[in-house]
Amino acid sequence: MLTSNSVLNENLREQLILLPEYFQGHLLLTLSALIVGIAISVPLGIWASQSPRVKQPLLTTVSIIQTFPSLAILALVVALLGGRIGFLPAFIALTLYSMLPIVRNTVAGLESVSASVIEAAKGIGMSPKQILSKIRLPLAMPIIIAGIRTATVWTVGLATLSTLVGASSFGNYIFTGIQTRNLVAVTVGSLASAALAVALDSMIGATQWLIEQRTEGVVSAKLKRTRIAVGSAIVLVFAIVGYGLIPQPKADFVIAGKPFTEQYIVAGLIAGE
Amino acid sequence: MIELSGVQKSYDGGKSYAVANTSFRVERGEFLALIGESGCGKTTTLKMINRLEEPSQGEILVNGQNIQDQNPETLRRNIGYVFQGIGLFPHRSVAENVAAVPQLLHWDNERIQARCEQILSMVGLPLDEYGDRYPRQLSGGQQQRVGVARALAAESEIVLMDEPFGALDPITRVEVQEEFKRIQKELNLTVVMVTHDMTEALMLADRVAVMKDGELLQIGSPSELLNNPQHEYVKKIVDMPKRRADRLEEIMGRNK
Repeated sequence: MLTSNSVLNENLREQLILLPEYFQGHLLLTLSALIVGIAISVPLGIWASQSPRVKQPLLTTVSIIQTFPSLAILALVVALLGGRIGFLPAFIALTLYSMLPIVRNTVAGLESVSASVIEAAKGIGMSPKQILSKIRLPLAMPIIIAGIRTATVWTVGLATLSTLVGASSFGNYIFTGIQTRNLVAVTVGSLASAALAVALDSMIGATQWLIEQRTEGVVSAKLKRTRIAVGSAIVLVFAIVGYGLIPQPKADFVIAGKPFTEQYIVAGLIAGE
Repeated sequence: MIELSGVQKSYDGGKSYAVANTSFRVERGEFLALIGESGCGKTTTLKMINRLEEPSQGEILVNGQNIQDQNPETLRRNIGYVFQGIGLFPHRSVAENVAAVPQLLHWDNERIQARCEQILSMVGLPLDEYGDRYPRQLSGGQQQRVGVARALAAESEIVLMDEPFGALDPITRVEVQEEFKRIQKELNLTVVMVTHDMTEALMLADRVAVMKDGELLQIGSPSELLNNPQHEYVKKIVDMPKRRADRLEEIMGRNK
């Protein structure tokens, strides 16, 4: 019993040593895919909501991307890039995958603004641009943010697959763990990935809540305390994220192996782990 | 001053007319009610005055200037607009709603603040108490008062109203109507109001224009319309409030 316990501890310790590296890889991949996904999808959604000719083809396209199995998207992107592996194909695949909820919610949010509010905005002399920036976008924001949160959770989960194309992530734990029958590694990887998804999702939610709470008249002491707590939680998560993004010594080349035990060993040997 | 001459509006290239050959003039400080059934062209007529609709033919002058020569957004910022949907911006406070047009006109903050204070107290919602509230925290009547305040905030002397009191309950409606009439007189506002409520038209307006199927049947003061209706439909619609009042009296008398 004692021996099996110490083996477990030794194993766990070994896994946790790898945590900062995988955390950084996973976070970098997720955040860059999300930021680029948002930067592409929100303007596309705005465009679609203003032009019925664009709307249907665009929504169909992003939906079709979503119907591809995520693993197939990864493989296709690698193929399209001429067999290139590592960060880039994983990043492109995740960006594509993040688009559907954001585009769809941007369109739905902009369309949910009541016609009477838009008529009033027009009637008092706002230009179409002002109606978009001052009325429609702010009113659509909660729905757009809900889409971003969905995309965040998906992307964090899918990023584990990017291990298969040689991008470092919590998926390294999971795939290595499956192949080497190391349940501790699988558990650590899954828990870390889930925890990151929950943390990012709640951080976006908390930021949104804080913004919505501004100037609601008299503020009770309880609400004030909650606000401070939420604010500090956001700062804390930002600090952790910031730490995760501090660049570690950069690899000169990337080594990936097929997901079989021998390849893991060979790849590990070559990488000098 | 608003002047329409030979204004027509067709949505099908002239096969049928939503508004046919309409001309009238509203003087400074005058209150005109456009009345008729739904689909008679009254709202289209109103919306052509601030270019929410464009006339197919004819000319509209606002303060002597042809509105076709003006930028539609600039024109609308100088004309107050109130309508049944109220359309307050739900993400903005009462004060921010009222400040909307002055901000579009780039007034400086002090002037906006002073104007908000003045106009909100005029509609009975003092800035100190109501300024930071959001539309959803107000009753229907209060919301429409804010709607009126927003329309008047930029010191426009012309106000267009599209069934502004239609969504209010009867008691609130009479209150807000009377309050608006008082403000209209005080500020000498030129008002064009669309309504289908003859009682409202007769109580508030200096002149009433009756429309049917896109045609302007008759325009005149309430007493002119009551005493000298020139059309069967005008007689019917103008008599309505009186008939109802008579009927009401009859019922009350019987119950005494």
